[in-house]
Amino acid sequence: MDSQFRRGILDACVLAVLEKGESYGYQLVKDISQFITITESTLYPILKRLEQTAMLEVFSQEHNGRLRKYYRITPAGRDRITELLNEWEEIVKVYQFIVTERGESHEQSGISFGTESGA
Amino acid sequence: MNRAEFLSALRAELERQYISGADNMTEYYDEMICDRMEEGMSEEEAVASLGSIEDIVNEALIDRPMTTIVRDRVKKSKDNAEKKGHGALWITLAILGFPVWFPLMLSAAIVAFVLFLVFWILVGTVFIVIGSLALSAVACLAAAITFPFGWISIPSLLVALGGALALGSIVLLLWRPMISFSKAAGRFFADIVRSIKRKFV
Repeated sequence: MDSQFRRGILDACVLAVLEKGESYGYQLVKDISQFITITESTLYPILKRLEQTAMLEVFSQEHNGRLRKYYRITPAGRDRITELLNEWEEIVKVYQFIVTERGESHEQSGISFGTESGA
Repeated sequence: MNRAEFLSALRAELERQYISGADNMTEYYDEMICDRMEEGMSEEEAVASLGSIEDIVNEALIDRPMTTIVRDRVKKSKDNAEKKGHGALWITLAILGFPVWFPLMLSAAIVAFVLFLVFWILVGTVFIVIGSLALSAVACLAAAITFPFGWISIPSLLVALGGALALGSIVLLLWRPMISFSKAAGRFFADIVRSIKRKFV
């Protein structure tokens, strides 16, 4: 999968998980990796970028005697999910167009082969 | 490798590559190791599951601003030369090569800046057009409001009202597509910058 495309999808996945409720790094990796491969090293820059663009907020909370960072989605993050879903609808339309065009071109080449073999 | 060794090696590599935010990043990976250990993994297993330090550092390198990447590259090259005892040679070559590398770098920076400017002026122009249409709609409406005072005739009132409606409709129709366009343009520009950065890293 193209890296830029993948990056966009992962942004949406992180925001979608956070839309359900606050979460922390490891939990995000576990939740998202059920659907798409993601590692801690991939997640870190995504979290940083989403934090810098104010799509999520970070806060620390005590857990088992240590501080753990939690992430919370912001209204801007929710808007971004809507945008990504709208973009996705366009991608699906393009996908369907490509599949249809491809199907037609294969059908046409099939006919021409049939004619040649018949002749 | 245990947790302390991993974190210390990661910090050393981040500092070697001149990546800022080493504290935050080691904290993040420390938290990941602790969370895995809480789930029953041994310290070594938890560290091994995080992948190689090289991959972690590469991901961090891609995410830095362009200016930081260039500055760090220059600093790294100078430090490497100094470590090998070629510090004086590096400085001499930098000075002698100045008439060549400086105009080239300046031209590249100017071209990049002009492209950046043209790109955002284009986006800005679109909003100026919409803004002027909205302003014209308001002006038409203002003209129509003056009718009770007898300042304009009935045909002028109809033209003003029609103009306000038509212009207002155009603004409403174009507003959302223009917002989407500017956001898409921003992301497209960010993608270009990221692709260029990948060439450096």
